[in-house]
Amino acid sequence: MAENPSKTPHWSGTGKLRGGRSGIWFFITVLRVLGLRVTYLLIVPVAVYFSFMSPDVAATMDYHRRVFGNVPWWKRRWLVFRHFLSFGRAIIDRTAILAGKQKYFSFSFEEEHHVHKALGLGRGALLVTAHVGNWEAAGQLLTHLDVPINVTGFDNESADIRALLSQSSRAKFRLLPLTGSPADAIPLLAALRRGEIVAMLGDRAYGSPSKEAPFLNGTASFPIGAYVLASIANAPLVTVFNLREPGGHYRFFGFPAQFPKMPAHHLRDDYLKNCAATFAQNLESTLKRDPLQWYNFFPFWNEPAAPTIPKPASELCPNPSSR
Amino acid sequence: MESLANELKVRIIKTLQLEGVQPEQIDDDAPLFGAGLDLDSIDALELVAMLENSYGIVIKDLEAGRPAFQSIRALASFIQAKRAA
Repeated sequence: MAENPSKTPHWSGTGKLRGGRSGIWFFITVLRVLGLRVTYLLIVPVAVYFSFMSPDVAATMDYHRRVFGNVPWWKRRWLVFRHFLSFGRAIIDRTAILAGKQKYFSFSFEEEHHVHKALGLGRGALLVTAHVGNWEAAGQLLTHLDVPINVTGFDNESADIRALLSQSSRAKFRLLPLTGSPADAIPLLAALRRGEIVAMLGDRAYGSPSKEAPFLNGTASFPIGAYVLASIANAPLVTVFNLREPGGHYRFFGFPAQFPKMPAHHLRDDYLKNCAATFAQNLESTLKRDPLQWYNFFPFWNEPAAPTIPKPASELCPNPSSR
Repeated sequence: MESLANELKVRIIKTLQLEGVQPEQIDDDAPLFGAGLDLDSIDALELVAMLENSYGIVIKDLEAGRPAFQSIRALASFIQAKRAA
């Protein structure tokens, strides 16, 4: 259960978007008056600035080394710029969607049936996702699932997002705090008992229990609280991601439901390690489609990029067929 | 009190699936976390859920609830105090 090496709280760990409320309103106004494309252009100088000045450049380059290998220095710079541009675009898209501008985007969710199937059991469902794509877009995909969605560990402090959420009168979303205390589990378990969705991020532990797993040529810590909750609540757990595709198209990815059940105490840690490894594999396969849509700008790995290929997880988290 | 402590031991063993541990092996005053039973934060999560399920006790703030998790005896008197309230 390694702690993340960074000592100070990381800005993206708090989920706080730089710029705050006035920045968001500026972009909403530009969006209203000039449209989406012009708004994207405005983010270019911001991305240039951050690709040199951001404290996250080193962590971002480490990630790039893992997915793109060793590339010349100019390409490293170019990739960082492209990555930050992609992040800026995601924030604009998220803001636009929150402001009710869905007309700019299209959505497809063929793999949503995994969530429907899990919910059909009537025991609620845990959705584990990551800093990939645009969770607000994924929320759009899920709004037609006639079930309240309890969101935890996402942009936790974010009063802006909260205000915008309530403005868009989507009371179906409830933001619950994730403080890392076991007591956080109580409202989440209650939500599952009511048959609701609980959505969590699987690629940042926020001080909650985590296990190490092989991930992109190294080892990283993944939170495993969701698997314990699923076990306690006897609820299905579905890993979901979304990615932006060209033309403002958001595509939803879902993996078959898992039914975590904690084994005997002495086997529990190995079991949870396998759960983390399965999630890491699913995340890795999704990221390979578009590595620049991972917005976890964070020193995520326990050691610097090594040239060796990690061993795959020997045994995966059990799937529904076993029950 | 004595019976509640024993009941708690049985429930904790069952909840955490502590194989090979008998209720009478758990000392009423031994620490639950760090030493003694040597439970961790994942166990804490399960125990918090167990307290709610079995006793209807909601731990809102673990810092405030920390003394209750010192030992079986502390937990039993915590539950009794909650019941009396």
